[in-house]
Amino acid sequence: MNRLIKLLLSAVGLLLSAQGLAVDKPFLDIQHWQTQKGIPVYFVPAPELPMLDVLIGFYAGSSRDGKQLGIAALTTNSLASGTKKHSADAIAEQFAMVGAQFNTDVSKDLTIISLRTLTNPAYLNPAVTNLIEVLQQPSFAESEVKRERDNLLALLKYQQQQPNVMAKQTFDQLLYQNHPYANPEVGRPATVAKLSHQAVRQFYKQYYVAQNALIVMVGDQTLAQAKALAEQISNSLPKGTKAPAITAKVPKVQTQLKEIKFPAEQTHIMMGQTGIDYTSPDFIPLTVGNYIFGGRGLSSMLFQEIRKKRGLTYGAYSQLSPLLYSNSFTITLATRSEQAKAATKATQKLLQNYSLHGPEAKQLALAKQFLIGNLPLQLAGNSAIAMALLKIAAYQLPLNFYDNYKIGMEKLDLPDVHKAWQQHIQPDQLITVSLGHHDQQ
Amino acid sequence: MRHFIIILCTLIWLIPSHAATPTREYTLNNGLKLLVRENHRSPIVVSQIWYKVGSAYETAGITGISHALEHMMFKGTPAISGDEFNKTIAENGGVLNAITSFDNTHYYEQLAADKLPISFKLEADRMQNLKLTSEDFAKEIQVVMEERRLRTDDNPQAVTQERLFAAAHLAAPYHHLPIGWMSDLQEMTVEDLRAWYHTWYAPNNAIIVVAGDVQSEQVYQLAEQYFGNIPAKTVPKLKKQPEPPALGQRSVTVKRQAKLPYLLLGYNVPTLGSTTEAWQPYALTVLAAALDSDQSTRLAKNLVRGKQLAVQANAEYDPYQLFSGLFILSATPASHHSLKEIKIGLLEEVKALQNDLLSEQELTKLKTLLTASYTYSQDDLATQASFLGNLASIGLPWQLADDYVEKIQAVTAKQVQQVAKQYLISNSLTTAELLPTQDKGETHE
Repeated sequence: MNRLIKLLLSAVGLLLSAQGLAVDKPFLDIQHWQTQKGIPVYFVPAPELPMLDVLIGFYAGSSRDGKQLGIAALTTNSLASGTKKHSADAIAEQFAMVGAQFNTDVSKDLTIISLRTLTNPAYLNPAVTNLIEVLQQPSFAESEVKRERDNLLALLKYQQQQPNVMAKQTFDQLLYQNHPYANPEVGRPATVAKLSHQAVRQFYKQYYVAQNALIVMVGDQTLAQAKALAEQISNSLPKGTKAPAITAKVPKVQTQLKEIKFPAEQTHIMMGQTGIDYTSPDFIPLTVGNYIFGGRGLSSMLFQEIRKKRGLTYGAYSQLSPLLYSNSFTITLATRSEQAKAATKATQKLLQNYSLHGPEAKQLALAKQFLIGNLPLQLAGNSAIAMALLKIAAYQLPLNFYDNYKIGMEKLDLPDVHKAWQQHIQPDQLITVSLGHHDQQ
Repeated sequence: MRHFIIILCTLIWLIPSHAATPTREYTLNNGLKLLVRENHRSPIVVSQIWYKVGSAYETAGITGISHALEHMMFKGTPAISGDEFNKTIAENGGVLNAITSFDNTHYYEQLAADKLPISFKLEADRMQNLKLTSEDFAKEIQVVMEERRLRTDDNPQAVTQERLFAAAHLAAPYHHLPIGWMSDLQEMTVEDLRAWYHTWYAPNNAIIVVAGDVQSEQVYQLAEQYFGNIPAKTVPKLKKQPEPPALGQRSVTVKRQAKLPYLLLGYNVPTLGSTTEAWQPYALTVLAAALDSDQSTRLAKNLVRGKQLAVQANAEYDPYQLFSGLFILSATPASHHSLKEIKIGLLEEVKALQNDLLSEQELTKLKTLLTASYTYSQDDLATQASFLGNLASIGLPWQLADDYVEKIQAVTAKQVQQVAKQYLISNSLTTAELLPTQDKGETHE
């Protein structure tokens, strides 16, 4: 699985930001077009290194699992396990012989197939041919799907050893309830155990289609080469239809505490509620508000209070996670069990005070300086650019998203941030999940 | 579901980097070494300072002290408080952090390229003037213990890895991991840290690496300006601490509440820091690649797909270490197979590499994979800088970073077979098993 992509899609909404360059040229020189079958393509040429990243996204994330939780993950995990012409071994060998890296990943919104390859045609062409064969003709043989299913079941067990993963899954369930975003990205043991190769074929047939796809490319290709490559990928997919919009409603958050016994020295705490969409006019002020409160960095109020002042945790942060059809605001920390209650209380109090008083002028100034000045770092390198493009493509953001972001950020003042925060974050309506030894508290 | 052995406190896997852009080396009069790698792709700079001190420098009773000191390095000096330090980097759009490893401790800032002087000013100050108050220490050591609980104690696989290293190293200093033993953290004092800081933090025990959109000569002038006046110190010389001859297999068992069993096989092997046979670590690198590079290589092909003994199986080896290290095979057995069966499966793969030469085709594939990875790693400036800094901190020429592809290409099938036969032998083997105990987890509201 591709961890970078996972970070982008399932974790932070903090890929935002702005810049520090003197000249007002766009942050990203994005070439954008549609293939003949209608796939939107986002391309940034990067001639510095002889390599290319291709990401093919399908709106086929775990939110499309329906009752068959885990089917999106099992489908993509089985994709390279053999085609009509070649075995799983042969497919793997063909990528390896040209040094290409093939990966797949599933988030709540998307399935992503990625290829990293050298651009010398002797390497690029076989890699692309192999990619297209995998995309177009997976055989999903019963025995292969069964093996992948067993591996997925083991992954689920491994997740059950990870308190942070279990806290997140429980939180999503309490927040989203009957909305498909409650589905864990890789399913649940009881449902995965029943998934069949026929179900995998059906899921593939429905969702791995041109009308449901997007393509991101970054690397050493000309525009003409990129267009030809996108067309080649596009032509390998049937036209199909786009996955329908998810219309289920996320219920209003009810304040609650869920305690789960877990064999660990630390208690893991996740608290939160719904957050904000990329398209909301309050997206930028709330993002800045979140950076000040608990954004990644050593200066946030949360980090200062819980780690620096009290020594209660190694990490403490808050994040906004916008998705296509909903979103969340979460606070995460982990502390030795006897301090869990104290840490939870201190966090709640901090959030209440912050909501009441809003940030101080010097905090806002620092946040703007950081978020604007950090943008060139965030957009340096092919991997970073590919992640930014994937966000723009998946969430249909304007091509000048980062430029707008910078402009919007520069204009912000204290009341903007405080008003947005008060409007969207209700500190007295928190879902709290706590995993650990609660008898020690 | 690929797990890397955690040997660093903040995990970073050193992937080899790039050869095309030139690197310049300077040494100041006080012994501070400066490496500058110009790369003008983006208007940014990575600034790292590497100290030649890490967990391998620690003795019994003070394990984890290098890492604890790394945390305290963010607590400020009389001139610049810890908050001021963080704020200065943040208001300039930069990010910062630090990593403690076996062989070194390094601090970094990433900034817009014209902000490099800020990094130098802050690092020069805390190289000499760290405050180290008992109040700050009392809180920060709690944070370090939380880090240990988070990353090690509450992670059954990490505990198993920690026990493997302890069992596999008798006299050699990789016996304990950078995080240190909890009991040593509990006993640690601020005086211990002061002594450690004054012993090892000196310009002649440090290397600065700067990579990015900069001019080498200007960086050198800046280094002179900020670091040139810091006096050199007499720094202790590290002893060689060779491992005594292995007299037979060792094994260790970890019983923890967990859902999945887990197996680690660690062989004591040479590294570039410990051997004069410089070809061997490269042959071991290709050997590890033969077992585990991607879905096409032997462990995935034969154990995960072929015999379906494992749901995951990996091989790892780091040639760039100060002392002799471990060549590690790890696996999670498939549901109907035991740790014993997966161990037999792993040992059969080792045996195959000892008995039969790699085919021309397989060797070519492995070299292509390693070379391509090297090209891909050029995408990240910090990776390139870390490669140089790590080499210099363990006393190896930084030029090895540029020679990587050439060295890998020179490895022969015979050499791979030879290191497999010489080092992957039962006398050098330590086995660590994670045996899950009964789970009493339950949910209530």
